[in-house]
Amino acid sequence: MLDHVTGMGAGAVLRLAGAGAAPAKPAGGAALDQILIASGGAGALTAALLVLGWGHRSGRVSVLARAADLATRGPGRGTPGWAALPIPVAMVSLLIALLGMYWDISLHISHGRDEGPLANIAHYPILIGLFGIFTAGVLAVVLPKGEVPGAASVRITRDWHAPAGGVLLAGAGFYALLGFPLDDVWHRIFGQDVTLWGPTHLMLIGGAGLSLVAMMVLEREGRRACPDEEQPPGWLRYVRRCMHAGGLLIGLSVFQAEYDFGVPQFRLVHQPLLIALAAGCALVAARLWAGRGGAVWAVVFYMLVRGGVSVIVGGVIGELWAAVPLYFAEALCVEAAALLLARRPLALGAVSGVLIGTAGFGAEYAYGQAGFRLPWTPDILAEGMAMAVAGGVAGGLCGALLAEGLAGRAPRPAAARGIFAGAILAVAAAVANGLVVSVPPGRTATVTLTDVRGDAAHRTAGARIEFSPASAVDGPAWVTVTGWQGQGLHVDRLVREREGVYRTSEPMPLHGEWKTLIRVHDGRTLAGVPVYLPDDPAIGAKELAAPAHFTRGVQGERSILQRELKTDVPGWLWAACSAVVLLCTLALVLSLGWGVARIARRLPAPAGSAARGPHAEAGT
Amino acid sequence: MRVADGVLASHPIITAVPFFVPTFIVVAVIVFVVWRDRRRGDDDPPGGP
Repeated sequence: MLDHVTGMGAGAVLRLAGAGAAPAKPAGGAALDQILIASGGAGALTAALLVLGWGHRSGRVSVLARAADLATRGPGRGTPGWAALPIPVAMVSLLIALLGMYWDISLHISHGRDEGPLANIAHYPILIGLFGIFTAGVLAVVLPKGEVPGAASVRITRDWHAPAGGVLLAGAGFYALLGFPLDDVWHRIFGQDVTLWGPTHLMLIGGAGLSLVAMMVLEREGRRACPDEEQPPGWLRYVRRCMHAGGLLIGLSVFQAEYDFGVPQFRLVHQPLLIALAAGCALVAARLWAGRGGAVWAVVFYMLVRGGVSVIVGGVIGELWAAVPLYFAEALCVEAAALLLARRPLALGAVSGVLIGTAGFGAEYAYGQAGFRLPWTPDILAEGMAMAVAGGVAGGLCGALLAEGLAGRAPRPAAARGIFAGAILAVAAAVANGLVVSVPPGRTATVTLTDVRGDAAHRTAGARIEFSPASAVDGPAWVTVTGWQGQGLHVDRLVREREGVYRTSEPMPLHGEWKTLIRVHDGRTLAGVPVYLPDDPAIGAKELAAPAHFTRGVQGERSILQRELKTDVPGWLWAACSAVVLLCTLALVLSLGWGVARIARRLPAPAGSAARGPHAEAGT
Repeated sequence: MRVADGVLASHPIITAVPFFVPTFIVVAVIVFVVWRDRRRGDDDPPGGP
């Protein structure tokens, strides 16, 4: 997904594939036979989908109908086949994609870029997962035959109507998969961007994360299409809703992955913003949609899945550990606010957001001292909390709108649109604020290596680092030595000796493929000092050796962390390409908003239930 | 450096083919079905997705 340097496994695959003529670490391309294998597999899947879909609609193949019938008797009972079958398919696909994503990021952090979309084994679960999401959407579109699946359905042809949630689910999967070719184009124009927050990378994870909203819409349409006597038992509905909301929490949390691993390339204040945004949206929706305790159970589901992925990637596969934000405090904030405000959803969203941004922020701050690789420091206290409040309120309001739509109630369209647009703008403004960084000129770091060990192939060393002027670093968010892409990750928070003077607490790697630098983040300052960088002929980068004593300027990190970036691309081209990705993203977000508004309007709650609060209409 | 350039040039966007072409085919088939239906039915009131 984050396509970067050769991994060990990827390199081995390439050699096995007989592509020995390629240089050791090409910055693009893939072995032809891998492309053929992957194309063959994908082609077979496509053919199966087309044959099953076409056969189902023409009545010649009954496999889909039988599978859907089976699904209505399993965990999807109480919904017709066109909702009961696609939802578990999408759930399993999302789990596969999530595992692949964390595995992939972990591989890229420890091994660097890879040769292309197929060179990294972790890309396969991502591909299968994203294609599975798309497949689930197509199933929901194809399955309804000879019926109109509810009043919110979309007309495909004169005798073919598809549930809006199915169309949205297919759209979210399509958007995510569209990220792959765009990613490739992006890499060819700009060089590989070794960060999660590349525009096209955000498409891949955003499409998957937001598909949960489409699944919620589909579930609502399915349950409204079922007669009253076939409704599922209350506990099953509760569990399903908590799982959906927990899934949304996971989906919105994937944007934090760089922070989870401890190598964020952006300011630390983004992390509280993203945590609060995810918590606000998913947990307010969970509480309002599922009922009392919904927010807590959504976090339990999140913890099982997201914690499980960390355990599998870090423990079983043996890659890097990804920290898991706690979210329990945020859930309690929402539950507490709901004791008073459960019947006033928008107020609940706003109040929950404020609580999440303050009390929730404090809890994550405390938890992060032990749980995060880069714990929060007083440097980000004020701005981080302001960002968290902004994210929490924006997310909480969106979560309230989502839950209201799912319950068949909605504020006046103008008000809903205003709140939705305001929330998007607030989040955009907060993210933009977080992106403003500076590299103060005229600062240097004098590094003295201590305790140098090993020969050239195994060299490690401690270091004493003196910044000039000494007051340049004052109460920082982080001062670390970070080494990555050398078959591992090394993040060492430096020990302060006196003002402007720091030392390492463990030896840093200075050999092989490691890229080792000193990182400084203080307020808006985000800068680095390269210590050791390897020779990289594929991108025309020369080795930067680490002598025993040297003084280097404090510089922007981007050119050190993302050496693959091409520097000769005009700025307008970058802006234009980003605008294309932004438009695709807005299209997806607005489509989901349209879907929620559509079911709110077309599948209204029965008269009288609004006055009885969210629990009373549980049967609708 | 020259070798690396050769690798880049000889592997165009084709590397990403298995990642998106199947999706595009499925979407194209659905769009075709819709287009055929729309073209056929003059009697139907306009409207759609």
